[in-house]
Amino acid sequence: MTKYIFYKIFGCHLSICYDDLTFEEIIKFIYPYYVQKANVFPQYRFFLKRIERNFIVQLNGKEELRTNYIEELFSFLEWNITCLALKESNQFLQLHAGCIAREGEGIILIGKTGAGKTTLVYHLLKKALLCLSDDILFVSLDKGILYPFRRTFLIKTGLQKMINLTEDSFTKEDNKIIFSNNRAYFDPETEFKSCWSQPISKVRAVILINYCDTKNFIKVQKYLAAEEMLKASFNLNYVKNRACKVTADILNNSKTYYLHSNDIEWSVSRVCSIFDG
Amino acid sequence: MLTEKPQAKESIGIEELEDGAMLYSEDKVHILNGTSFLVWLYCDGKTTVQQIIDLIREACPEGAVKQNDIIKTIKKFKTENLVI
Repeated sequence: MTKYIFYKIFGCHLSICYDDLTFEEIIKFIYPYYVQKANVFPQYRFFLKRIERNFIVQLNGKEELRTNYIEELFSFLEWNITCLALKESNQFLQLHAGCIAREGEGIILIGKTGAGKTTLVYHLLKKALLCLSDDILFVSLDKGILYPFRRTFLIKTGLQKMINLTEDSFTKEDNKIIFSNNRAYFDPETEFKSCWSQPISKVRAVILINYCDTKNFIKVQKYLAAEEMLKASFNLNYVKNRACKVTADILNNSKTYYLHSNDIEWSVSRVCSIFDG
Repeated sequence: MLTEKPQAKESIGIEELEDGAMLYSEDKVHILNGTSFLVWLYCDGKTTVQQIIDLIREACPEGAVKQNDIIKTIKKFKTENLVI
């Protein structure tokens, strides 16, 4: 009899069979938008064990992770499953980027770790914009459609301070945020109802964001935006030709900006002005 | 150098941008600005480096592009295996 472990990290459900489950079966759980092609998955097998306080993950018999933090386990599984899915499917360009939307149009936010993607997306949701992602964006390689990546936001210390979020400021029963290792995991749907966007086919702008002391919001050349966009790709080498085509299509049909700031309200108003303009 | 006739490799893929281009080979993607892309387009195996310099300088405002920069660009194309 097949035995499953069910995880529920707030709104995100994860189910892994702990004796025998194929990668293909795992993918069906996690990516409802995934278009399955025949024979694309080699037989990756995840095996989960728990020894006392430790969670152990093996992939095809080799230990890949040992942790006593369930959030780390979740992040690891999500990341590895995502990477393997992308590697094998070649259906998406995966970008290290945030993305928000309004009225069927998206704005892609490209920025390195710590640039403020999650902070900006969080504050834009307060303006009733819709979310596709705060950190990882999927772009289909055939039609350039942006797909939402529904997951909990990882709120680092900078944003925690900004929104006065402390471990004491909520209760476990709140079911909104959990803390682990100074990091907060936040399900945006608990604060912003129906905040997730449907897939988006039109990109209004691509913004290169950076956290810095000076404020600057200017148009940027497309070739420079292309450079940053491709640098932000995790799987460029597997899908190079189509990635270049879809990137060129997006950039040639949208506006491109630099947004440098440490003033979140100012940044939010600049992003909203793109939708309004 | 000035009499050489660089030729763009046929195997290089191109995606044009409004102000430049992405060139992709088997192992790498190269992002070019508008001027560099123009240089690359002139690398047809028939046009000499000197002629490329003249054509580029005619197309751009006076003083905007230096001869040395064009030569450096072509050398870089060679190093990156974009031209032969």
